[in-house]
Amino acid sequence: MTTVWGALTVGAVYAIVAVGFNIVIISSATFNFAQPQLIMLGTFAAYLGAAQFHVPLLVTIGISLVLGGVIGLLIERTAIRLLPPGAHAELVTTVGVSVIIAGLVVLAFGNNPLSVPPVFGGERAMTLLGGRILPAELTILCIGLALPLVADILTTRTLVGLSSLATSEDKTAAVLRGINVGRLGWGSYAVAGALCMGLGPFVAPETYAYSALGDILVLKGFVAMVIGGQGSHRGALIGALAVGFVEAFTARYIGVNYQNVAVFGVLLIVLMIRPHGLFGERLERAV
Amino acid sequence: MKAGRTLPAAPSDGVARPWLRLLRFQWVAVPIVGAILTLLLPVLDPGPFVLRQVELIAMFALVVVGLNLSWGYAGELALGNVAMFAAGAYTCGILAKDFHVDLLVSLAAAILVAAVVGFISGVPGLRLGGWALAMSSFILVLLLPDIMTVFQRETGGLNGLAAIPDPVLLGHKLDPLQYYYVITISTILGFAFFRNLVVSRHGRALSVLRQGPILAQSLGISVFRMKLLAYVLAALPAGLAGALFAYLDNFIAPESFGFSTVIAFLAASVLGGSRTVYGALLGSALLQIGPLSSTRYQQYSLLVYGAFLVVGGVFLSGGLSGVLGSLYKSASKWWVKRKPSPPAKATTKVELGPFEGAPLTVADVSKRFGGVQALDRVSIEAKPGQVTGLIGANGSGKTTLINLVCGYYWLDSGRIELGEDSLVGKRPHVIARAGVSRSFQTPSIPTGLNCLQVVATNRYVRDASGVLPAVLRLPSYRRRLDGDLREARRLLEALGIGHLATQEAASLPLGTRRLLEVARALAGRPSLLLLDEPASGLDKNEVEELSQLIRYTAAHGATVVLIEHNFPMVLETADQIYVLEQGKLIASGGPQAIRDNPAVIQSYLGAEVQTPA
Repeated sequence: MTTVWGALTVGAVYAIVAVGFNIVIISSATFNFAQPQLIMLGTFAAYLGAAQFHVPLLVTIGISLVLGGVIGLLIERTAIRLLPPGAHAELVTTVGVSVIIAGLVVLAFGNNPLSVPPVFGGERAMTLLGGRILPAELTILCIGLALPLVADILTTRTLVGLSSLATSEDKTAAVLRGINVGRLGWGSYAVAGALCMGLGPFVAPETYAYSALGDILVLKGFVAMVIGGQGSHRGALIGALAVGFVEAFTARYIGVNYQNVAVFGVLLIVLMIRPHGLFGERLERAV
Repeated sequence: MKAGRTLPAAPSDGVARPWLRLLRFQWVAVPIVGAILTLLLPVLDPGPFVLRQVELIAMFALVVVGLNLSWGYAGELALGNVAMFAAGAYTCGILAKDFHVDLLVSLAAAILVAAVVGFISGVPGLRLGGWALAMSSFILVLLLPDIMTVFQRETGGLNGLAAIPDPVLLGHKLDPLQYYYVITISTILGFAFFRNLVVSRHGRALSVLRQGPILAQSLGISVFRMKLLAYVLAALPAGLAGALFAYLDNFIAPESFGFSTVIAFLAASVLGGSRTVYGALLGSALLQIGPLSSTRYQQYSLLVYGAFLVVGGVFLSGGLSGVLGSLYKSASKWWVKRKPSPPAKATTKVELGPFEGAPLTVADVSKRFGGVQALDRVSIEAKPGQVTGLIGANGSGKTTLINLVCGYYWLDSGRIELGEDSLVGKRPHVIARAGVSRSFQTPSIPTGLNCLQVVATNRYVRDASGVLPAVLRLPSYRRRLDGDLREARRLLEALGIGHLATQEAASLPLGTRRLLEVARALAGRPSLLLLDEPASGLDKNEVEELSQLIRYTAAHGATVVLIEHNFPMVLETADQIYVLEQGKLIASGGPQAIRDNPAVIQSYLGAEVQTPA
């Protein structure tokens, strides 16, 4: 059962990443490679807040939310808005942004993971349903499970969400319906940025503040999103949990070295059977 | 009927003096001089550091040129090159260390293994496109350390593979200087190979793939095969570079093949220009001389790569070599005043030869998109030697019908047959190969090709040639290329745009691009020609020319289906006309009957419009 809790916790972190990807994809049809770096920045905010400046958690989160939003806006402004349409150049530029963020963090904090004290609940593991889990892990688990569901409801029930869906389906048609596509674009970067960095402090006790965290999360979050079907928040949750479980159980029963291979294998199998992911929709091609 | 109509003659290339023809070789001259200088470099005795820099640049550039092929030309951003680089290095290292094989054997094996890895990494790309392919190939790189650890005994695990013996070529042990020649000559050969490939018919077919799967399929190109070709070809130089790298320091370790290497390759490609061959050298040289070589500033190297990627991705769409190229072009324009192409004035006959038409039968076809019944039990017959018109208001289902015939949509019910064969359930490129060529309502012209090359892309599959003959420029390939150019020029002249033959096609005006689409469709020598609004955007004379050409094509045996809003033109051109309204067939018959049909006047022209006399 401890393995199950571990899988769920890791899966919850991936779910946050995947939801961050999805928010941007739904509203602006771009893939932001630098997204998980904001979670990484959030973990460093937690490290600074808890270990250096000793400020209350809420202050750290507040600052992270604002900073994350601002950085998201900056990414959109520098690496997305100026691009020629339809060339997928955003992958190159957001990879560039991602590398710059990681490089700056390495310069400031070095290469080693820094331990961050838990948000609350202390360092004593508790026993839940026969498995052991830390309070911090339980917190992130709840957030990771709830976030995709909330995001899904917001996307399918609110006007902003529906406008985003309309934009992702046909940008021109959305403009003609009076949707401010530009605002949705930068808005989604800001929201996703704030969300990822704001949740970073919750992730920090689990992952530590580590400069390479973004590079790890980007690939796992991506796999989670593709398995679930891009643009689907519910799918992201299922995909993220699937990745978490595959990782945890492969590590436990086969070997740590096979963990990533197994995840890649699952990705291949899902793509072979359902190229558009579990919750993705297949559109007929139009000329 | 109107066979052998008069058409404008081919103008000359616009170059008056014969010595200026030498300018054709200007782009080949630069790399040849560069190659000779590189080979002569050791004579100057610049010391081991400079030679090592050149060697590293050469290997680096080989990987980047592969990346350029799959990304810049084919539009498939596959970032697994590092995995292929590693595959080449480890294959070579293990063979040399454990089996003491000859250099030629280990290089060949490394290239082969890299090709296999390229194939595997491309599998997700066959299903996904764009950034999804990039990410899944990225994951392959992430797996490398795990794989090395699993095969600890063979690969040395995370500690790396040490004590790789010096290369042995045909029983002769090579010293560092001789190995310098091995590296530079392999790189020169590799670049020659890629340069020839990129400017060949295959390179242009890759550009078609970049334009999108729909266009590629309409030209009979199997997207599946073409993508695999791109991935495998891109892997070859990476494998070669990996093998060369293994001998360089007699040591390889996983950290040479990590995330930052992926970023460095990508940065070199963007910086040099992704849609270039020699840009790979430029980008690699800049990165090797700059951030990669200075250990003092190593902690800043990530920042530099990142900045290159953002700035390069946003501002330098053609890379630095693109900037240099356009500078050179404007300089040479100033230096050599080319005569402007003379406008087409002389006339000559253009013979297009016979077409083997096949009858098209569309019977009781229905198609529904969600709540919209796009087609409702529509039946149409198009016979060889005739022009069949298809008219109707916007949204009446005309283009849907064509897309069903071409296999882009799956039909709900009914039959579609070409001659004796059913087209239902066949994939678009198979249908295209069966003799169906089409033009698109919105012209789909890949960038970077001139008009002749665009037209010739429809001969790529019909008159296929292998990759090797193309790279080696064998006579069989040259024959096909000559055939391509001859046929393409004839078609352009037949449409009255022969004087634009060597112009960049994608930047032509809309009407001209439509004519180009018709020429490209005809280049497939189709038995069924489907034209989707070819005349919109054309002036009166051009419409007249096009109309004559359509009649000519039908008269020479082809089955022609013409969708058009230009009612007078359809009346004049078509033998048989079908009228669609909201997915239903409301009338059919000869031009006279259609013009006088009250239902047509009511629905399509509006009651108050006078029918043309």
